[in-house]
Amino acid sequence: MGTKAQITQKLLNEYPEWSDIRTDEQSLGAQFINTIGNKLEDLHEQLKTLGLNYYPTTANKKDIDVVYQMQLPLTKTFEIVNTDPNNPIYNPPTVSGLTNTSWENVVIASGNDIESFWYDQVPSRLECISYPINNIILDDASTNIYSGIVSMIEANSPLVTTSGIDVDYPQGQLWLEMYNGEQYLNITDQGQATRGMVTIKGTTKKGQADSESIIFIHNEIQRTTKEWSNIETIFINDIITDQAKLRVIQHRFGKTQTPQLPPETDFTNLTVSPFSKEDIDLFWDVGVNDLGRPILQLLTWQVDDIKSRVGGLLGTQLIRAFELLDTNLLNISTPIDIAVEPFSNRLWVADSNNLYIYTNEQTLPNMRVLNKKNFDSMSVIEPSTYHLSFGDSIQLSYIIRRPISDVDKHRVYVKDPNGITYSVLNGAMVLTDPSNAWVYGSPDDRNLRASDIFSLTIRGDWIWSLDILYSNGASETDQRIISVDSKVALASFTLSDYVSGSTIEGIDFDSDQNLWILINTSGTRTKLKVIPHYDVMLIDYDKKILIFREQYSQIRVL
Amino acid sequence: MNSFINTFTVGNIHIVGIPVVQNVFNQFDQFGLMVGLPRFTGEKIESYKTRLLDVYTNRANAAYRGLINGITRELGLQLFSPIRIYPIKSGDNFVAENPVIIFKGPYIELWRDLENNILEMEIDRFDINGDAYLIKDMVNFINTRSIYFRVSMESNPYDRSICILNQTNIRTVENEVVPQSEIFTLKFPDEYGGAIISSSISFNDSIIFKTLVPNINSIINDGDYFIDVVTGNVTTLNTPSPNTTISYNWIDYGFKPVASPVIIHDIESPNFRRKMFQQILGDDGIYRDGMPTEFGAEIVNELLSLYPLLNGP
Repeated sequence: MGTKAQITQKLLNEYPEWSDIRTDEQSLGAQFINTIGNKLEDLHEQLKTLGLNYYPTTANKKDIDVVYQMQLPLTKTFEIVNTDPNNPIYNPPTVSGLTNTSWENVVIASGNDIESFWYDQVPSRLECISYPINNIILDDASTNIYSGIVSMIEANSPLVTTSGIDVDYPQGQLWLEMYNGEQYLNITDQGQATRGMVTIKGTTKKGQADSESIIFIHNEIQRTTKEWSNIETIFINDIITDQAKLRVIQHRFGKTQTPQLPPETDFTNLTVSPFSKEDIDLFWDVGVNDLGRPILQLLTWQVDDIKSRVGGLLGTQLIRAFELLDTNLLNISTPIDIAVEPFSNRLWVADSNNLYIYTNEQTLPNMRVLNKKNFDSMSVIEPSTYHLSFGDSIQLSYIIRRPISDVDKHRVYVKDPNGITYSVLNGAMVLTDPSNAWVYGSPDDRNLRASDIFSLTIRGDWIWSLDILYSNGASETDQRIISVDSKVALASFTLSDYVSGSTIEGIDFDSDQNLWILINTSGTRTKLKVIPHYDVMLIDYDKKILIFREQYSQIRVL
Repeated sequence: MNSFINTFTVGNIHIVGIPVVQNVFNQFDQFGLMVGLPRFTGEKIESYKTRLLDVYTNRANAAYRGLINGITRELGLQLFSPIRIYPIKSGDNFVAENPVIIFKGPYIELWRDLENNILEMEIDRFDINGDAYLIKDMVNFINTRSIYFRVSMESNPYDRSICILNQTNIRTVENEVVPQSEIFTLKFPDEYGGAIISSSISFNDSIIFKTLVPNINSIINDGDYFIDVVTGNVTTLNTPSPNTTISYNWIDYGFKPVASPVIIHDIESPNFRRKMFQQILGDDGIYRDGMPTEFGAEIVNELLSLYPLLNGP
């Protein structure tokens, strides 16, 4: 298994649009460039983090700040598990730490380095603090949006409140969503260019009177850069029509609003499509697929060109879908919400009673199984996609790209993820040996045979093969891997362990990078601030020092 | 530091210890280096970031407010607003003629009419046995005794009332630009409103704004103008010329005084001298410093103990 770097496509787009390397992720060239892409993306993410860390308001607030050290007696020896005295591998001691209430088992970070100790570590337990919700607005179907602050149309601008609207704890950066607008950029009769703009006046978290203007170029959601504790006045200007609607929201909880809140943007958000050189936004969402399986969806705009989007073509399309599994490899319940953790590769997904953590990696299959493939094959299998989710349909076409010789015979067969080989005959997978599956004769056009449509219901990699023998004696094989994608949770947490009798209705990361959960306790909504705890340690085997993330009042080492 | 108790159990050594906190340098420490605000040991980003941003909001310097800001921040304390204090209104207007509140060292002055020197009361907030030592006592004292002022409690009732910094409910607006219109509105009020102090109004154009008349019907001659002190509406006879500006003071109806756990006294201030020295009435009717009080003597002794250090032997 590998990972497709988002930046790989950017490199591949240096090639012409008709080339396989640009459009086919299973081409040799794309595989090769992806190894560079992965390293480059790592660098790119670090540069992005560095850039954000230049300013206190955007810097990573969950960066490594405080650790706790314990010096072991210098006489302490660790058990060595290998036989090479120059590179000893130690068996980490059994350590437990005393928190307020209980002894927690502390495990060593997987790589015994800062990366695995701090940045890649998933929480071992959570702590939830409940806060009331006073900010409630109505959506277009007159249903409550919890943690909504203002809902208004441009015709009612400016919105003036007598003593302002107090923003609930934690007063932070807010989301401004514009929708129903038709045109945001305009040239007036006087020849002046105007841009759609929303201006907020009020009091910041630090208690200062302040204002902030945000430019919109099309219907979208944007975060303020200032942290607000009270909003007094809101102006909406230069958006056509004056029925354009603004929602000011503190937390992006749930997906039940009318109209629904847009999906969340990927944190690093660096991608391009194979057909353009412009950067294009990448979004994460959750839902169910046609078979009702819970899926994680990776989305992007339908059109690459920003001018078309300004013109109003704002539809999104699905790039990848991953079936969601819990830590026991069983499907999670219908997902309710997703939250993208900033400065990390983690995504949090909630169903009605659980939180799950997944990675945002775009997995690639192991391509070493393409051992029989002729990468310069004249006849190819053209699948409609390489990636689908459980039960989705795929269309496969079998094409002779350069019919320079008549075809003597050909056969198609497929190996499912369990290793069982089927022959593909007359549009069906048949459990017969491929040696019996030859189809004789030359096709009339470039289609070797009619396209097949299959619904794939086994998770994993399906290897499709096409063997072809030409009349001139040449033979070749094309192979493609079709992945039925899934993701297994890195960790899961159950709400009823923290609060009883409640269901989850939404999750969100605030601008201070804290996770919040909207819960419904028999009709009453409250929000929980989640404080993650990490029972993990680093060990300096030479200096006999243990380093912890959590503050324990006492440590026991066995 | 670490304490170890080595207890032998069957077959293995059981080590018990207490971990020590250790800061790891990150980007916020870098900001701290730039603004001269180091992180406390064991301070997490969440609290450190708040203190770092405070450097820009509440500037530190060697003046009264700057010292309060700096010391408060460096000690990891926070400024707060414990009360809202406001003059009582009758309709749109204040009951008192010119109701001004002044927090001034050990005393709080409530003025019925500051212009004409009519004091409603002076409250001692210094004396531990006084009526207004704690904020909650001060609130209660003003609400029960004052005819012209009311206080609403916001937070910190059990802090000392002297935590409230020296300040007044008078706000100053300097050089507000006047539009070229015979009728315009000043920008002064905040969410609670207030009233302009008429005597403080000054325009940089003394021809068009020559005479302030008492009501809108009295605008007759060139140079007459009228200001509604509550709404801030201004009416003139002549159109103001470009670049006209107005400066004025106004009384803030939503006055929420700032407080800090850090208390700074100015021993030169007359109000503080009243606490340090017995006040003796002279023949000319003016009070002068007499013998130090018990408290004053303590301060004098402490200052004397510093004397050789500062000036050499």
